[in-house]
Amino acid sequence: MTEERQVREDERAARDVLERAAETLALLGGAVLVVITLMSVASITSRWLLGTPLLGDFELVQLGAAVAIASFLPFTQLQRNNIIVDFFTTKLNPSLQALLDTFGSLLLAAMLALFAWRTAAGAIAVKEAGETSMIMGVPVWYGYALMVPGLALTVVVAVRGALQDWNRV
Amino acid sequence: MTPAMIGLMLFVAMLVLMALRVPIAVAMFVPGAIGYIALANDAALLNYLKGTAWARLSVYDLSVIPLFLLMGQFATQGGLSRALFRFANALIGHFRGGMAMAAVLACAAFGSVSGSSVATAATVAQVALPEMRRYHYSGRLATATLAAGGTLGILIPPSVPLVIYAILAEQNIAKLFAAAFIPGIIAAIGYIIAIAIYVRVKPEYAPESKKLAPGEVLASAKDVWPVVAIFFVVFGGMYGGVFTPTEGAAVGAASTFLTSLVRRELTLEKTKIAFFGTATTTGMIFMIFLGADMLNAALAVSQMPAKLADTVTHLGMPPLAIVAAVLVFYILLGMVMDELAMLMLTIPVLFPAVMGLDLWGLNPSEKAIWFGILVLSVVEVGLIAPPVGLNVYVINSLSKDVPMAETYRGVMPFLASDAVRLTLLLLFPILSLWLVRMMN
Repeated sequence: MTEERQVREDERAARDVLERAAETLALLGGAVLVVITLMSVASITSRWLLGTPLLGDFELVQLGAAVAIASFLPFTQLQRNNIIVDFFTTKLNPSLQALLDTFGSLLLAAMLALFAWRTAAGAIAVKEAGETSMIMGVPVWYGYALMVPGLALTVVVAVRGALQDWNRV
Repeated sequence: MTPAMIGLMLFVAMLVLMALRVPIAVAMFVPGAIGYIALANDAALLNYLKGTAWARLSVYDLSVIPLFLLMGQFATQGGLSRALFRFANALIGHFRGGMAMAAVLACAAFGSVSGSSVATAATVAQVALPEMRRYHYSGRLATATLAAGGTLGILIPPSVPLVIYAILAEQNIAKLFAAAFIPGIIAAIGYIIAIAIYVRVKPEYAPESKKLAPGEVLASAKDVWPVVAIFFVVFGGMYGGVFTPTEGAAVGAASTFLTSLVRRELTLEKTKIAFFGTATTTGMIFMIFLGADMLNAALAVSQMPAKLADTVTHLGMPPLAIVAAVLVFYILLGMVMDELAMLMLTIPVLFPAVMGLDLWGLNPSEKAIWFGILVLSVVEVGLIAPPVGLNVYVINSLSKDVPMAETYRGVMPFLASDAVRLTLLLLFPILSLWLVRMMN
């Protein structure tokens, strides 16, 4: 009995850590968007008043947006906001629905694992190639590498979700 | 087995996975990845995946999506929808059905700072729904008005689906936004007319209320000017050549943030909610992008899209009938599929086919813009049409006492209005193109 409770508490603690990690990453992504916003406003102002835009603002927007969007993915999955079509299965019994959801969550975890792995491999390849952005000379592999935490955390969140689904079967 | 056959099978596999509750993005990705291996090999797949996430997420033009979503979130948290509804209601609320009409107007105005239909429907509903029920508007009319009115969020620029279309069809976002204005206004007028006819037939749905004193109208107008100002700054700057759509979205996000701050509506907690709201919607959209890209890559290798385009152009059917058939296909597919996913999946396949047709003698750029507005309209229909209308779901969940079937019944007059508008847009491309031509 107590052991079971211990397990449950461990599970909850794990969930809390995971939830907090996903939330933190989403807020960080939001902060990056704010930086993009401020930088764009600064660039427009500079173009308007001084006749020159900020150097490389487009590149930084690209980099920032990619990192922000990847950082939003774990929270999206945590909130179960990745759309499913439930129209054909609403009449099924809840247990069978939960089984299908387990399957769906696992497939999502697999997909994101593939992306996390290949994007990390991409980061290494791009680093070795020494590719840099056109104007600022920022190494492009930074962008690849900074996307990996978001992609990887989504895998963990989805696996955790699959376990929750499985418990409902 | 021919590659085109494999392509068709991938499409079927996707539909099966979707029906089995697999998230849409994954239901596209899995057949895409397997198909890619079948058509090429696994090394090619692994190599392809190295760069796809970066290639998709770092598209400069796509960064308008999170920024416009952030702008809409700040507008929501800043209570701008309340100000808009109050003003619209003070203006026309005393007519029969006027409060519903005011809700449509508020949606249209909110749509000018929001690019998402669900967000627009939900945020205006928060203020308009309780108000309408308090004045004994029927649940059917009240919920249907907000579900349909919410679609003005995408019909009036900025518009997330239109941005996605622009990227996939490689068209100019600013021009597409310009093209959407007049059709968007026609949509709002169409909905108001639908309400006027509806309440004439069913007067018991909307009791009349008292006219406000001019002083009260003026007082409510005071809170509305920030929305007007933000709108003119964002679009004025975009069309005045001062900045790109992405920069416009950034300026919009910054100014809605400041407005909400000055109105003392924004707390730290609400800012967090705004970030989280932006995160989930952005994450959802780009996840689908990742899945759709994979399936599209496999389909491209299978050459099914090229074959389809070739077949369609040699059908010998009148071009306009083909476009109409494509739109009907979209409406049918939209019944079972998420509308954004549908765009991401089908535009790369169908767009080349449509561009091969001679339509009203339009040049390629104008043809692409006009078709984009038509596609946007059918996406909008999918958001309120049974059996699965996302907006209907969202609004219905906000008013527990109204059965879903009631809302769907109430939506019918609005769908009729959509049908009329869609026909007009199809037959008179000038409605979409006039403003674009004026700008050139």
